[in-house]
Amino acid sequence: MTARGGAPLLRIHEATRRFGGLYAVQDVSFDLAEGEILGIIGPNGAGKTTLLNLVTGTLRPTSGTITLAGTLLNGLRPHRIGRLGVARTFQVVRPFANLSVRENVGVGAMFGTGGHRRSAGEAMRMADEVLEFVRLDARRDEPAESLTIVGRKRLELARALAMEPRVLLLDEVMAGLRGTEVDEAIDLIRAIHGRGVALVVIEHVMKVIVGVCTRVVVLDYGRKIAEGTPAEVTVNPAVIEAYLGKKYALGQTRAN
Amino acid sequence: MNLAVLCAGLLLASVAARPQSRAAVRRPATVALLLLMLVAPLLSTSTGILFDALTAMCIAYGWNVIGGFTGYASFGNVAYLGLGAFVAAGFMSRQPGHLGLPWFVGIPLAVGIVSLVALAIGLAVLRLRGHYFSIATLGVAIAMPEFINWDFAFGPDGLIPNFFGGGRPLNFPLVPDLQIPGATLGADRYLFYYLGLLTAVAALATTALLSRSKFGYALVAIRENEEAAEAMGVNTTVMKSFAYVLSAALAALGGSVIGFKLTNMTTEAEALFSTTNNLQMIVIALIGGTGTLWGPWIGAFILFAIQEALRTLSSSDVFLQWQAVVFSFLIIVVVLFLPRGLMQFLRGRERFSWRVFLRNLTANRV
Repeated sequence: MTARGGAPLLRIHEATRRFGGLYAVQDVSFDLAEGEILGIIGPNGAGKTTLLNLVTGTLRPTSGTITLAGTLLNGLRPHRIGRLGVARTFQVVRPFANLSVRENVGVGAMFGTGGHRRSAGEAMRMADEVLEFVRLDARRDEPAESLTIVGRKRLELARALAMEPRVLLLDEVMAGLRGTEVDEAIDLIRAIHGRGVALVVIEHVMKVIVGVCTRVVVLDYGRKIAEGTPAEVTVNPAVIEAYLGKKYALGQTRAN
Repeated sequence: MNLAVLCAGLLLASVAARPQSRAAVRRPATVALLLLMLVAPLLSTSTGILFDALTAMCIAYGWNVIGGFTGYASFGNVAYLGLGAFVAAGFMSRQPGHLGLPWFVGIPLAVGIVSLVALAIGLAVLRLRGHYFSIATLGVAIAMPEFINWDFAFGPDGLIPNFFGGGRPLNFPLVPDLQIPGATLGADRYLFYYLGLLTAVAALATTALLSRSKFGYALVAIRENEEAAEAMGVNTTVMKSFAYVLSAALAALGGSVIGFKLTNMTTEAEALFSTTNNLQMIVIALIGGTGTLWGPWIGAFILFAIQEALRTLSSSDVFLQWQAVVFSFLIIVVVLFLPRGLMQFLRGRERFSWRVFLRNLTANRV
């Protein structure tokens, strides 16, 4: 893989998805550079998960293009996109409940970017390494259904990491976690970033966005209303209006 | 004697199936089981029920691939069982217009052709999930006997004239008893028994390879969560299609051997395409434990041990007449009280007790 200086790893260009008359995502464009952590925030129903589904191929864009390192992803089936190096976690976790923790992760290693080079046994050895990394190794032989919600979130991350992705899309991994668990998860996201994976983080917990993201895209009613550093977007009147209503946005501007 | 063989086989299979046992225990148990099955015709004068158990097991192993590992409950595998028998008969029959191929050519050929048919049907029905898939496969089971009687294709002036008999009886060639110096080896007792054993061992070996392979993991991932499997790089369409074809191939293998022994294929095809046959494979997989390597083996031996015990006790055919009712009842009971089959106990997490049945009853409510 040749590093083309500055060229975006993931480029989303005027992506639109319509459900009947409703635009769930409309003309959204942004880039993700190699090694970047990008946050996506927005009120409920802003189109964050829909956008993620467009990137992973779960949904097809009505119009617009999505490219990974120059390869057009539009119209590819989800497993093709997964093998090209886009991994995701699900907002509502989807473990393979009756498989062991190790087997769950092993499936990612078998069918991810390098899966075709790996036997089932080699994939399981790789799963052990990843489980050590997310600190789930002590529970690797237990069925996934026996994990608590924290464990399941970690498992979701481990499965995605075992695919050796170039881009990892995290869909609200913090939801349902408590204070110290959030801090641990933030450390884990930083550690994943340290492995050279670019991340897109969809999150409601602002502590996470401010703590790990270098850049944030804000969606509202399917449109991109702001983009910038976390510090910039949190004082952006359009963002405040989207979250809190017009009155607060006006107040904010006046105070400025 | 057959009952003793079935019970001993059951015991050995249970030992071989325990995942927590060491390989040093499981391997000898597997070898002992296969040796027992090899010498069974010497122990028993009529191996008919053992033949029935082994071929039914092969078909149940086939159902287990799609219904157990992949989690797509097929109610149409009987179509491939029957089609396998008819296609094999079409190739092997010595009646005019047929090729009269030997069994070791005709049966694999039939399995291959049924696999292609299943691929075409699978690509269509596998677009459906859950109940919708099950209903569609049920339609396949109902349509297949009609297809065999389709005059346009197989009638006297059809595309392949009278391949399935064209309204007249279609017969497999009769197999003569083998004469060796000093003894006569009965075809039923030896040849057909070993053919049946071959189908069961082929099915067991296929499942053993599958359960350790990437293909097997892909199927189980699809069963557990298809969206997650797809996002993780599993080509679900291809994997499901392979699973469906393999499932049909094992049904055709068992079916063609059953047909070979029956000899006379009635064009009505009621016996082979019967609901009893359709339910039997599901009952066997459910009793033993779906999605497991030894489940169908254990399920088949239990079912036929019960059948044999009833036969020796009552010496009437009442059980056979009521078989479909008994199977339906067993499905309900097993699904309610033991949805993971007897393998749940062999896995060793739980001891055998009535409490387990009650817990299953409440725990598996949706």
